[in-house]
Amino acid sequence: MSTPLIDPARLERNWQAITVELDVPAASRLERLVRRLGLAPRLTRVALATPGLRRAWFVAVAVVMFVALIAGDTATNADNILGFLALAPLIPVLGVSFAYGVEADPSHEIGVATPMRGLTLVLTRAAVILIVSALLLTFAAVLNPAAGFWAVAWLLPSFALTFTSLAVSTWLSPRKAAAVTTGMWLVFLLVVNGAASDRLAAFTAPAQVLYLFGAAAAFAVLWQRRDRFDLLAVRL
Amino acid sequence: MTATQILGTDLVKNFGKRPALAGVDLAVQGGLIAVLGPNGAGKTTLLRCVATVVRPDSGSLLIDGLDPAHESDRIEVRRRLGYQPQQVSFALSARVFDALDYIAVLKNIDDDRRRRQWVFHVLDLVGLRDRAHDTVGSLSGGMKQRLGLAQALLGQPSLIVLDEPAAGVDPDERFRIRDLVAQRRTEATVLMSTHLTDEAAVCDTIVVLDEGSVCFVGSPDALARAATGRTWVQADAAPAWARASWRQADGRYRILGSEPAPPGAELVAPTLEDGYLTVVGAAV
Repeated sequence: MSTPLIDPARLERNWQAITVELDVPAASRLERLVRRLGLAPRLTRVALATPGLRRAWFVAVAVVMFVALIAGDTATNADNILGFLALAPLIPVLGVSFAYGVEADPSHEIGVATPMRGLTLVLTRAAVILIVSALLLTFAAVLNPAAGFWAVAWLLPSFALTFTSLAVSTWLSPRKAAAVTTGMWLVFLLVVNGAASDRLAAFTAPAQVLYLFGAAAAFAVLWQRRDRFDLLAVRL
Repeated sequence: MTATQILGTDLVKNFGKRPALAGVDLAVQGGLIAVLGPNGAGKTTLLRCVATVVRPDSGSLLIDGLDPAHESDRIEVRRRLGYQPQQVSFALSARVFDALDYIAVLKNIDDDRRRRQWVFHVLDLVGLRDRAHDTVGSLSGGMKQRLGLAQALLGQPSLIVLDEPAAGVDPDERFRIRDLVAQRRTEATVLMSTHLTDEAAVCDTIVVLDEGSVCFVGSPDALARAATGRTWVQADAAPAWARASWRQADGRYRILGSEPAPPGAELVAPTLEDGYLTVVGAAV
């Protein structure tokens, strides 16, 4: 009896591997688009896995279009500038609130029990939301050349508010945390507007420094309480 | 692979004023372990503690000597864990492959090719490979339960925690899921909650939980023996002292109790159900 030229076990393993590759379903259009932007397949999977997050994307895109319309007249109208700067930082907050937790992710309890840290999961999704929001909103704002500094003056407030919302979500559900953060932001703007003669005082350079420290402080709280994202109760 | 050891001492968990676990002691390792108990006994809370998603208010829980209260230990336990919660849910619009691939990513199976092989391997195990391209929403209830089991098996965990894995499915699916779970007993410690004695009967060890406390740990035979000398059958309805009684298919009444046999009653060999009802102290 002749010895087979190829090891049958190895041949079987290779066939198995080929069959697996042939059976893998094609990635969705949205996944292919995000992968083309440079995100690794596994991170793309994490970022797009939740239908809540995808809905949040569409909501964010719709709101961006609305804000772009407001921003169209920014050169002549301080109220429009204020409206844009007040609303724009809330878009990532809204997106992030739909990006994690039991309301957004049907597999949430299964996910909590996996070795991926909850904070890593949350920050990955928050980063995707922040980057997409930043690109779209900045694009919308710079369409008007007269916008100048105001086109980007919402960026640091958006970081501060997003991290504040995430930090608050270690006590409350993500959506309640977003609602509380939105309320705090609007009250803050009303107070500053009432006290200062400059209608855009909340977005001047000194205020931007405040937002930078605010973002850092919120992130510090988030880091300190990160294990809340690793337990079921915080996400209920 | 060494079977995972679970060692719980005086575990207490309260939700508001309601105690879910009232001082649970548990020491198990290897094989198929059923956590049996009535609704509200604390089964889900105990399994969630072992699955590290809920932290006990007090007491000590060690899994292979690791304390899930510490972050690094918790992550290490989760590397060894497969968990199927009671409410298994995936995005209905997701394809079966994508739903499992997502969980495999969360389980840190980072290599894309290896992850795909794992996904198809567990789909083969639960008999769902031909549904890999279908949406989760198109699966039957039993298939969704099997999908929940499949995700728990990703990465070959040495500790598998299953919260009522066959709840709400028809008998065919129930037997199929039971068989799939039983096959895992040689490669992992499988902790499975149920309120059905016939599911517990196929396990190596049964832990009976009632009102947040463990009231029995032992083999199915030992649980049945708990009702030895306390199980009778008679033609008439139960006497007032009976702990439990019900009418059998032959029209006679089965009676559980600790009093002397009623006149005319026939002492019979107890079943697992008799033993279970005896240790949980069921009322008539």
